[in-house]
Amino acid sequence: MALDAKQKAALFAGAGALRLLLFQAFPSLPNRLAGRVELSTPVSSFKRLQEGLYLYTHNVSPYDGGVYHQAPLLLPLLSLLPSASDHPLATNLLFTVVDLLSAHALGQIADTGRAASTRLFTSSRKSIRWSSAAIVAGYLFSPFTLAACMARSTSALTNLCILTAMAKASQGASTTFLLVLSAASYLSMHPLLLFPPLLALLYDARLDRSKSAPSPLTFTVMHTFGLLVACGALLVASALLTGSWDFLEATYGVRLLLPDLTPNVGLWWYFFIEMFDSFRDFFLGVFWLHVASYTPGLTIRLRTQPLFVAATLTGIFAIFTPYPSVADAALYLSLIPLFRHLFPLMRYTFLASASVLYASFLGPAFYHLWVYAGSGNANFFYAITLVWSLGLSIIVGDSLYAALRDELDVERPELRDKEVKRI
Amino acid sequence: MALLATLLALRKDARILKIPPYLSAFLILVGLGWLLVLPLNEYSRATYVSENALLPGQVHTYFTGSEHNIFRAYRHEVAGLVDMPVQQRTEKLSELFRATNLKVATQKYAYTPSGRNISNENVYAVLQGPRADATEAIVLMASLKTMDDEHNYSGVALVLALARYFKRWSLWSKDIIFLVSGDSTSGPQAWVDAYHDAHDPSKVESLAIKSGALQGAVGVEYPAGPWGHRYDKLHVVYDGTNGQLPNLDLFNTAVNIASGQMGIRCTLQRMWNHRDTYQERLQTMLRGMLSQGLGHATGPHSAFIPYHIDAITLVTVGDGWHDEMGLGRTVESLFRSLNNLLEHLHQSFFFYLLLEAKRFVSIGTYLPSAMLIAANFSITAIALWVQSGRWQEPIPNPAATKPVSKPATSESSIEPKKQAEEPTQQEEPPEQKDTEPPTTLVSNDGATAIIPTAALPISERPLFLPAAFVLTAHLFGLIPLAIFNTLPVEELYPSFLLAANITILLPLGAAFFLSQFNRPTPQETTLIHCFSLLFLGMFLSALATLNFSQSLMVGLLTAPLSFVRRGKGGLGSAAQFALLAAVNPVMVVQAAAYAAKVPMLDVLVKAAEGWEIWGLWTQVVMWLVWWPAWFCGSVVVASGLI
Amino acid sequence: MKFSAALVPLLLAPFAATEHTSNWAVLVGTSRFWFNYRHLANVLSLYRTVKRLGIPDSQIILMLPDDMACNPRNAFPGTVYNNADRALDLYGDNIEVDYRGYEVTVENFIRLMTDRVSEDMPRSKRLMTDERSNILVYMTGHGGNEFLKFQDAEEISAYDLADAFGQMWEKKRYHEMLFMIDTCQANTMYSKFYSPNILATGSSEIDQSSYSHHADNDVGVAVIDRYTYYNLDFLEKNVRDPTSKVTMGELFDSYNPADMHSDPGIRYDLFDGGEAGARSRLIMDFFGNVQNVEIDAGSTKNETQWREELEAIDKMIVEAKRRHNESLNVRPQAQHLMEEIVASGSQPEKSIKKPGAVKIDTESAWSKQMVGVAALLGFAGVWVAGSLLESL
Repeated sequence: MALDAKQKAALFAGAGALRLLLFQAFPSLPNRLAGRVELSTPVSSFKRLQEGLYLYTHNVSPYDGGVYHQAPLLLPLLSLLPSASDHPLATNLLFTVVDLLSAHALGQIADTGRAASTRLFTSSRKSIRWSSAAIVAGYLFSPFTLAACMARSTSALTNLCILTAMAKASQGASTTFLLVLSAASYLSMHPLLLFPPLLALLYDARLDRSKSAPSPLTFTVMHTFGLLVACGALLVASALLTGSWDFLEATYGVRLLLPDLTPNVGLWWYFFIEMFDSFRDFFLGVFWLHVASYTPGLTIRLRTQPLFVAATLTGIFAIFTPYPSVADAALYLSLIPLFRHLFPLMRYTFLASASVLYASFLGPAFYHLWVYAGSGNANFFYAITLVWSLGLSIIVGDSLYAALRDELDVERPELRDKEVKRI
Repeated sequence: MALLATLLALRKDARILKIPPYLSAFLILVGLGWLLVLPLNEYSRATYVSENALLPGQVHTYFTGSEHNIFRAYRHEVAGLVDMPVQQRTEKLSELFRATNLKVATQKYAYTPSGRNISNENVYAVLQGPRADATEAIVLMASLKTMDDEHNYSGVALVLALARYFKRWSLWSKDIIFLVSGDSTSGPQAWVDAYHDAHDPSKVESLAIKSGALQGAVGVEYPAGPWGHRYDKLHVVYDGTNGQLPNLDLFNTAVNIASGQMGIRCTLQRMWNHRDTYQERLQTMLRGMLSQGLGHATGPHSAFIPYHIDAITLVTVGDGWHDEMGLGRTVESLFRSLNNLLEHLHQSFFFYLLLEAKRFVSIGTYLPSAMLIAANFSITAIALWVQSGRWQEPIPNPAATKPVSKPATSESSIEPKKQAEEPTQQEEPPEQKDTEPPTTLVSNDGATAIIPTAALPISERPLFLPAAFVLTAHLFGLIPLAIFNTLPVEELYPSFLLAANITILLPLGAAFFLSQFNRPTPQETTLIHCFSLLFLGMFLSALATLNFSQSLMVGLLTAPLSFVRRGKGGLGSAAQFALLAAVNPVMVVQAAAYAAKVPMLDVLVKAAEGWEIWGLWTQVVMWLVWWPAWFCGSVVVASGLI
Repeated sequence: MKFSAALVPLLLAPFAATEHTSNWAVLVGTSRFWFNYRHLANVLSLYRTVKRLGIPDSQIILMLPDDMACNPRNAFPGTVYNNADRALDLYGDNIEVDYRGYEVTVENFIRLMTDRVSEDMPRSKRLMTDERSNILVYMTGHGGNEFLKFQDAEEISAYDLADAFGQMWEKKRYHEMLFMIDTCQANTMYSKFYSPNILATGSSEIDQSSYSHHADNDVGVAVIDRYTYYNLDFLEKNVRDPTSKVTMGELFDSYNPADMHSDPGIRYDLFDGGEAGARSRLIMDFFGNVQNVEIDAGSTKNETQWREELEAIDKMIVEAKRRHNESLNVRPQAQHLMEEIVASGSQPEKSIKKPGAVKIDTESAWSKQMVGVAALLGFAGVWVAGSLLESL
């Protein structure tokens, strides 16, 4: 379509070559990045995956020892590859391919054009858009994506699943959509919250394709059932693989209950370090409710722009989930260019990008001062993660404003470019 | 209310855009002025020991009397072994340590920075605290050669004599490691790297014996020959690699013991005669900042500091009446204090500027100066960003009718010539919508209905070229970085001259190349400038937290970048370019080397050595921060010239 | 009270005012770490003094949070000195520390004072006082305005202390109390007391520090605090034996703020008889042991009960012996079991099967990979099927 094959091939080849070049030219870089708290969280770290893999191939339950908190099915898949410490090339290739596939999915989403015009809503600024090549390039060459790929964090797999789910939903492909979304949820749980907006997107796409509309209720029930079956199958397979249901506690239990307070770029760890034990359960509940509450709210309010809701939710995940990493932010930031038509309406782009940039530089500096130089303390790093989250939440909030404003411009063209005031 | 209304009205005023250059200049001046007031009593503080456990100078020292004879004997031994081959020397030293019943081990290292061969051998001995649990250790070290490349006869002899003397005490709560390193910087670096298993086994041998976590290290340099030499003062050297400093408590303890208990005066930063005047305080501070900003290793202690081990080196200077036993007793008392420690030094400051041995400025007082200078770039960047959004205003303006607004949407910026004067004159309209809440929009539209609503999207900025250009410039810095860190010695200086020439010509070339495509439109030029300064401000403020002095130095040297603009050719632009050419990084380095009377080749060799051995980051800052920023600024000016 | 008041003139005629029948001392150091050597030396000095004046170890509760004698930094292992002349080793070979190390906490201190302890608390850790006991409470450590730090981790406030003493009064746990404290801003610590018969003195006013007296340059730390030093100085010089008649007033008059570098304070108002009453008390009423024994009026406490108690103790001993013997019998059996396991080593799979502890085995990697292939193929299959389904 918009992306002609030659251009696309060149882009992908370039991105793949760049990744392999970086892997080959700086052999110590992947391990160094894999140790960075900004990129590797307890639930996505490659080093922990290695540990789990070792235990698994040596016939010990991977969850013994409390280091590995990722999905069990990753283990047999990765055991197919030669050991990453002896032959890193295979693993590097895998993660490069994962990134390219994600970019491909992103290109598909851009090609469908559902960011600016859906069944129920067409933006008045629809003509302002970037080509899918530019969007794909933005993803492939974003330093955040590159760093996450080099760190080989399993967030890359989750990102692939989420992007593919979005692509399948915007193409109206039910079965594959359910498959990848269940895989994404299986890998990191919170993508389950993307189901409502993506289901709405899928429904719209299906209606566009075939005019015979299934009833929304049967559609929802069917797909919910499908998702449950797919997720259930994955879980049962995991249980069969590990021989017990203990993995639930070690994977999803860790995500829900936050026993590991390793610092990360999110907001939870510091808060729960400071928390008195008696309040811990209460605030865990509150924090999770807070994250979950965005899904119904946004899906209902912005029913007409489901893809935008899904993208915004990924941004919210990058800020408010317990173990966010830069990889999550990379996903959100590369989805933003899909909504090029909203850019003119956004008001704080400079502020937001400046704070994200400043945080990306000051974060490692302050972490160094805290952990290595010993001349700073945890508050330094936490202050920067606050700035980082602030930057991301400005983008989320500003784009939400822009989307609503865009909607208003369509509903009330006479108000276009007038100042809005809250009364 | 009235004030608020005035402020709001001000915000819409086009004249607001004229302020930033003055504001930037003001910030730089304040930042500089700030430095100048620091030596005053009102802004500095007397040093004090804040760690309770240290109790400096509270013990009698007994390193006297017959120990003096033993020391002299060791000094003769050392004098005999400095000229031996490495292998034999190591054996002899090991034997001397072994004779005092210590566990001894050796470590070979061989580095090859810029094709040179730096190889030698360390000898070290571990004294286990008789009643200690071996979880912590402190280091006493002397290198065979001092920082000034003299033989450290008495320093090494003192370490040997103290090892023998310390062995007889029963009160050590930590292990004590005695290290005699092959040279003054690489040897300790190899040793401390290997102690923490952070070494490259192909260059540095692993350590055979180790002890607990290192809590502190003290180096001794006393280059008096076999017949002794009485000295006047102790020079306390404290700068670590990359401008990291040891905890101020360690420095204070050393000064406190030497001057208070032993009556030996202390000096720092090569200020041999400090009479505590304003000028001398300022001079001391500036020398300290220079040393910190360059970030090079200044002695055997430097290697320890990046590992969060507080370390200093005591150097004897001048001719006076203090003898080796005074130094020995200072070290003894210092070790008794360190022995009292219960945890890592953490109470006192890690960031400070010393004015004299007993006066310092703390980070809270001096940091604003570097931050103000870094902020000047950010402010200019914001101003340029706002300005870049205004380039489009002339487009609806000349027509003032609807049809003309149409071509404007196609994002091609026409009439580059007009833009220079236009934006500064009038036009409130769209400038605020990028940076401010939408309050201004409606009033504008209400007032000047001439501007068609459809014209709004056109104030979008073409971001791709500027962003790509700035990124490329920064990545381009990798090339000289790689070149200068890998080339062999004989090719270093020619390459440097080449780099100097290329640096001057490259902006012109780049500007000419781009002009072939008519590409850096004035708006893009502004954006290039904006991004480059934004990056610079960001790097410098991050750097200010790591190495204040370096950030300040780079900030001052790049300050002109805030004020240059793309001119319309002619003398103005040429003058601007000439100014920038004068402060280009390569030129500045060369001029600095000339002023310091150091051959340029030595600077380059040391820099490569620092990169390979000490993990020095100064070149990274130079080539990946300073040079690209200068380059972008120069291209901005040059694009006006061409 | 009526009863004792009736007895007092008979038994204690010469000391009408000192109607106590026992003396106790609670000596508390609250800081640890080598550089706080002097606090431990303060406490041990007081300990030595009250022992010298006759209070037995069983009536002294000594709380020492750290062991300076065995600190590796101590140049004179096994000793603690309170003077640079090192004439007197306070540690000696006869000290009984009742609460040591991390047992010295605010909670334990308050439990001790109010006797809220569990049944199995040994007698040596209890303050077994009654309404006829005089108590000397001496505390030293690092403090501030209305608080005293315990071990760098917690602190006791002046209110906690006042309430604990109030409760002691309610529970009839003391007759008179002398409270001495040597810390910074010490006088604030007794400002909140409200229960009667407490005579309190501290080393320094609010916003004043208490200073150490001198350091021993071989030990390398300060060895005693000024306030304690001058108190001890007075006691050593003027209270030479248990028959001393020196009064508290004389002790207080000896305080010289110029020597102490701080203003010591004394609080008389709670004491029975006010300032005059307190000043006329003998030092021996608090620092020495009472020499006058009061024979229990109910000495006819029936003998049968006593015998019953003896028998009960006998039974307990027999029972304990029996349990001990049984446990002796059990052990060889356990060894038998072990041997059996070793003997049946030919079929080990029958023995202990612990979940989780599995033998590490590298050989089965290929089977894991088969699972991986299967999972991969399965997912790919479902994917292709799904795609086909959609394209239909």
